[in-house]
Amino acid sequence: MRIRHVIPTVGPSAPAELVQAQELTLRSVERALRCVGDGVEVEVRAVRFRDEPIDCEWVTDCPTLDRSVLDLGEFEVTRRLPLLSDVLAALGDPSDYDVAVVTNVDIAVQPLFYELVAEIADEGHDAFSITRRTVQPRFRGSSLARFSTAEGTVHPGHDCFVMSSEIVERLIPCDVALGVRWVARTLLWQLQLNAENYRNFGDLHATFHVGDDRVWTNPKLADYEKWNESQVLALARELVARFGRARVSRLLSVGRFLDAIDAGTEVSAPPARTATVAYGTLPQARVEPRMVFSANSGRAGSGYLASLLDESRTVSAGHERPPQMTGAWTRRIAYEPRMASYTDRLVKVDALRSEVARIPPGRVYADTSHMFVKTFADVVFDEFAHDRLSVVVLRRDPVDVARSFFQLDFLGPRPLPWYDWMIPPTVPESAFPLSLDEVDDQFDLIFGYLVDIENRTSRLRELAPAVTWVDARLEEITQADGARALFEALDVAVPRNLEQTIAGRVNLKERAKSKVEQPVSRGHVEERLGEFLARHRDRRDLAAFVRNHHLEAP
Amino acid sequence: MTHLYFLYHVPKTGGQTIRDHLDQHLVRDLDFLHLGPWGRPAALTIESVASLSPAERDRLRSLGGHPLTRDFAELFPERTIREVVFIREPAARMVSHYNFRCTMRARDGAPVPSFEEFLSEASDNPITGFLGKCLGLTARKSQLSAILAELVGMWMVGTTESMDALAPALFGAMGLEPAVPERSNATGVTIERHLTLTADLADMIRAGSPEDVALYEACRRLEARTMERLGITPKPTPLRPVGFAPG
Repeated sequence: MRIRHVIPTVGPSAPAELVQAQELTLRSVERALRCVGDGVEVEVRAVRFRDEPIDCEWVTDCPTLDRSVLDLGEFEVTRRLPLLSDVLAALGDPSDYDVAVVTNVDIAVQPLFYELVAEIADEGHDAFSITRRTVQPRFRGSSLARFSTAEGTVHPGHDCFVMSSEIVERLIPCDVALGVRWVARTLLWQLQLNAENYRNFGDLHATFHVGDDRVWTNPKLADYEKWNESQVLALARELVARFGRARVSRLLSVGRFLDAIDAGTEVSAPPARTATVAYGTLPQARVEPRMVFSANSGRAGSGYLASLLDESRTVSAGHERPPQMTGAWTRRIAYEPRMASYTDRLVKVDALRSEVARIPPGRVYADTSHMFVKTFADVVFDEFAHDRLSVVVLRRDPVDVARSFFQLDFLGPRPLPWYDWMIPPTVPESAFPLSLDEVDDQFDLIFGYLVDIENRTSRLRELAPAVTWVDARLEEITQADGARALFEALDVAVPRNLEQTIAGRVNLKERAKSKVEQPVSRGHVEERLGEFLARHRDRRDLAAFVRNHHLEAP
Repeated sequence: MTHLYFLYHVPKTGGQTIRDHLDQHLVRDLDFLHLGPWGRPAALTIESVASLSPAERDRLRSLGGHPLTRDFAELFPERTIREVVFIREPAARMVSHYNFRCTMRARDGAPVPSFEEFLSEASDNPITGFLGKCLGLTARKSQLSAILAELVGMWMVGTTESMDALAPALFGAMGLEPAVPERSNATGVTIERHLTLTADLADMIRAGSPEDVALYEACRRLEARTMERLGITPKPTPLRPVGFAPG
């Protein structure tokens, strides 16, 4: 089997992080080439602009890019972005290969990648997409081996396309610019329509990407996105003519383009990440409002945080805004792999869009629910531009949190609704799993849960470095200086009467505690925490909790 | 055994259109049960459905009407139930409800309320509230979250605006001719147009029912998934004015 792999490469003028990513990609491809077995031939082609040379001897150098999107349109910010049609043209004569692979420059491959591609093609799939995994976004200090073997997380988008040479011949050229929205979709649609046996492989560990920068969400690229939409519209017209409207209408995300074709207009609706409502009467902000969420465990002052933020004239804050994503959602996250509920949980994004659409211009939306890190942070991070998002990591002395949990009988045996909100460490998808043998009493469950939250937060933080993360402690933001620092870190207006605002707002839940009647001394909780830390001291997934709460390593 | 279709009927979302279509093609009270007081003095209760013989229950293809709740499922332990719900854009639904109320009051010779009076009597988020009762999810704060968790598992979730595309698939699955139903009430012949929805009015109504708006937005996504799963080609939404705007 002859595989031809095209990678659009960058040269010295590209941003340093992209050059670094390319180096990593090429090293991974080189390793993969060494692993190619008998019966499989692979040629890797680097397609590039003539003045952007690449220093790599083992690739077929294809300096064939003579034009860019700048030759076709006018854009506010100058970005010389290659066109997809030109990149695909670098595949060359389809009679010279059996299978084509197209990936971006920042998609690294696993050593057995080509063997996998050959195997899947041999199984009869004439087109397929292999979605990447996202690994820890640190270049320095991490080797290819570490990146390659990191577990990472599943990424829902498409960035590695494989197709037979027959399908390549049938592709309709589309002049979308790389690095902007809609590129993947134009290829995906064509593969799905042309293939006899298309498949999306979303659960493999075959390719990976370092970090989750989502450069295509950059609002500065809005006019490039508009350009791409115009090209997608033209493509959609041709696809309808070739395959019929019924088949095309079943493709994902094609609706707006078909509407535009029917109406004989341009694609006028905003991209999918902004609100859409029938009859189009909700405000349609081109730039999304800023949003603030909170990563916290519950009983850490999230209610107080909401009321504090809401005092700012530039913030519209709430606590546990509906839909709260509790109950069945919590249980799905607890018992199923995260991606199993992913598409269902996108309903939270729809609800969020309907909410932020009603916020007055210039206001910041805030929800301090502790469900964020558990049931909806991933869908929010996937659907909203990261430079519009902030997350307040709110911590409180874990002894106080655990004591409050115990007094309210959270994670306890009574039939209270804590199980709608909390994820015990004994469930399959805990981020700090404990076996039943490791649970002596309720405090083990409580501490395990608190570590779980810390680990979920750390993981999200690594995946979304472009989000503004603000560390805060309840003990600090209940003081004027700390509260002021928080407002400033979030870049929102500080309330005028901050001292008055702060006074007497912490929710002690005294009534609920008196109903439960389960008092416990602070000293006992401290002692139990010490025991817990000592018992699990050799677990690496305890480190973030110990470090971030300034606890002494046992 | 065939599936049993539970057609939850949020008021003014097109349920009557479906009911009338079923009535044209099935035998009322034998093939389908409309639980509301339609041609009978009072609504059917769970007890009245429980009094049906096993053979009568086996024959039923669907249950519908405003009184239908999930509780009725326990009467059909051997049947696989397919739940169906349509949601309508909240502002358009509210105005439609108002026009319906006014028409009924006028027919009875009673004074017609102003829209402000009507709105002040209406509960907040009436769609969410109604659906919550249907599904037995009444805890107020977490109601929307719980409803959404249930909707993702339903067989068909749609919007009234897309009923022409979805209803044929529903009828086809029920073994009927997969036709686009004629709209009941939509012509304004039977329901008088006392109020036309404007953009400002829509904003006001939506501001008072934010959870309904969120629910509707989520249902649009679930509707797209329903269509994809059932292989339905979405029909472009006609760019008509909201509600009963003249012309």
